[in-house]
Amino acid sequence: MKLKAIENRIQSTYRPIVEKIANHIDLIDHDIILKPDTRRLPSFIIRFALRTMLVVLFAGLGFFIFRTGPESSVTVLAKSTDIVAFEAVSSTDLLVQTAINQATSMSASGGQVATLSLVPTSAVGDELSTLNYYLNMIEQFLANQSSLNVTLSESELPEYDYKIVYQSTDLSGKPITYALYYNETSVTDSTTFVFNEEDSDNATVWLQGQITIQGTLYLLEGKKIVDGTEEIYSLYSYLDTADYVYVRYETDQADGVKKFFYTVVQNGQTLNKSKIQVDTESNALVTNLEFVEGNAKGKYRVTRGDNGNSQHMDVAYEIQGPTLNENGQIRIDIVTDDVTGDTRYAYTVSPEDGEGDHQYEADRHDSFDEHEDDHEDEHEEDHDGTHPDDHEDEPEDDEAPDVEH
Amino acid sequence: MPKRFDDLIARLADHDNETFEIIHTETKKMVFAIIYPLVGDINLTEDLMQDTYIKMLRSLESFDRRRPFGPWLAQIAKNIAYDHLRHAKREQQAVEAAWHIQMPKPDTYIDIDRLIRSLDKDKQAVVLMRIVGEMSFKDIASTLDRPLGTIYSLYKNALKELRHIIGKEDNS
Repeated sequence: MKLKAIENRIQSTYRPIVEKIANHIDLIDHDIILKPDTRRLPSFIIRFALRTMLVVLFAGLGFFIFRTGPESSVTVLAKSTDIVAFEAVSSTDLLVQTAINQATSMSASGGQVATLSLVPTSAVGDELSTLNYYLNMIEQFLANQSSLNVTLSESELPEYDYKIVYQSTDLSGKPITYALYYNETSVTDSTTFVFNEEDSDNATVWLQGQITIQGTLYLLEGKKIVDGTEEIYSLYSYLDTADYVYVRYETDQADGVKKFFYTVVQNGQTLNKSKIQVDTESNALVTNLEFVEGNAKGKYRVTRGDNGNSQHMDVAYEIQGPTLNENGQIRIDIVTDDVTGDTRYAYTVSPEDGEGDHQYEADRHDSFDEHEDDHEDEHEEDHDGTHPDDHEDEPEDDEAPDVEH
Repeated sequence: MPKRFDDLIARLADHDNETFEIIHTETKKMVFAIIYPLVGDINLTEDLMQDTYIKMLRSLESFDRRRPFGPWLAQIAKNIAYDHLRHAKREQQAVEAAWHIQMPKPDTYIDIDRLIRSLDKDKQAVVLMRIVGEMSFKDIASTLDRPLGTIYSLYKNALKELRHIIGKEDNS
């Protein structure tokens, strides 16, 4: 039997069913659809009521936006691959920095941040060693505007089916390319996760993969977890089960906004927990970082300085502690060593009620462009997803060979 | 997948019944094809389809009109079905397939529904979304959040599996 004949049989089986049960749906009984014979109000009354409602709506909306920032992460992270790419790159970047810090025996508040000020340090100065990790990570994303440049393709590595490439530039204009490889499978009763979460039982899709940064391979385990109507994307980037960064993209119960929740674990100890909200504002990416536990605290709103034309970041911060509250601005410039060509971050911290600016310097890791010589395939958005020997009775569908992710 | 409904959405937001009928007619096969393979029960599918459209109408204000309507509705349908399954699981109510509506029985009748449901869930979903829901492979991939190559493979393998089973039943 031809496959077309099977398709026809399926069609003829189900379509009468759809017609029959669809006719039973009566939304009028649910007071949603206006009944055809409803006596409508005069249109000018409706228009007046609508205008009034709109005024109230926009007044409320304006308050909401002021309070929370525009909810545009839907645009920035339009696809699940965007979310996975963001999680993989950001968590691995934090993992790399944590591992480097450990390898060089730097203490959490030690040699990474140098105070240059003569004036007393600010409260935020105590947070910079950890904040610096995050700013290094966030810089990888700030050059993006309304969406991330993420492409999904078939993997050239035989052990993996898929490859996601994230491309951008850092604030110096240097290209950044990350490639992560993975397999994805449906979760079954026999699935054994490397890391178990409280709601692992609700995972529907399991992702296993790898990402290589600076020659070091980091392993990835991701899950898509269905919780009611919400789909949660969790991902571990790990060296081993005691050294990892765990991130979940889910709704923050505090304000109902989708955020990335990070947990940085080293030697089995949680170093810090944070949450990051990604937005766009004036066609530029904005990240809101908040530390919630561990060796750092405060809220930080990070933007690319000067409308994206400058090599600096602007941070508005707010720290509330048991004995000290501090708000202010930080400007982070990228400075280059004339001799070595290495770059560092120069922090200028301006507390709102402070006595003056405070200067710091901190490490800036070089951006990673793992595939500088291998870009020719990464813009390839369309490819044939079929198997070469599997075109028998191919469905007549123009879209089938045009695999676009 | 249903076409874009840009010009209709504004009217739908005013709860215009005729507009809803148009959209409902255009999308009901897709909504059925998403829900039925997940819940495996026609009566339940009917209820959840209704829930889907109710939720769609109540959520319309939050719909970003720059985006296509079909995938948004598909997502609602999928979430409604998953939500139901979670509640059913929580209450330990096994969702048992029931086939209460009389099936059309042509001369060469083979219980296609039974065969479809003998496929694994992913294949059921892809086959029904494609053939009954008339969705493109790309939209199916988006709805199921799977790579397009996977969807295409699932579809082809499902049809081949069905062909194999039907061939055996025809000969018996």
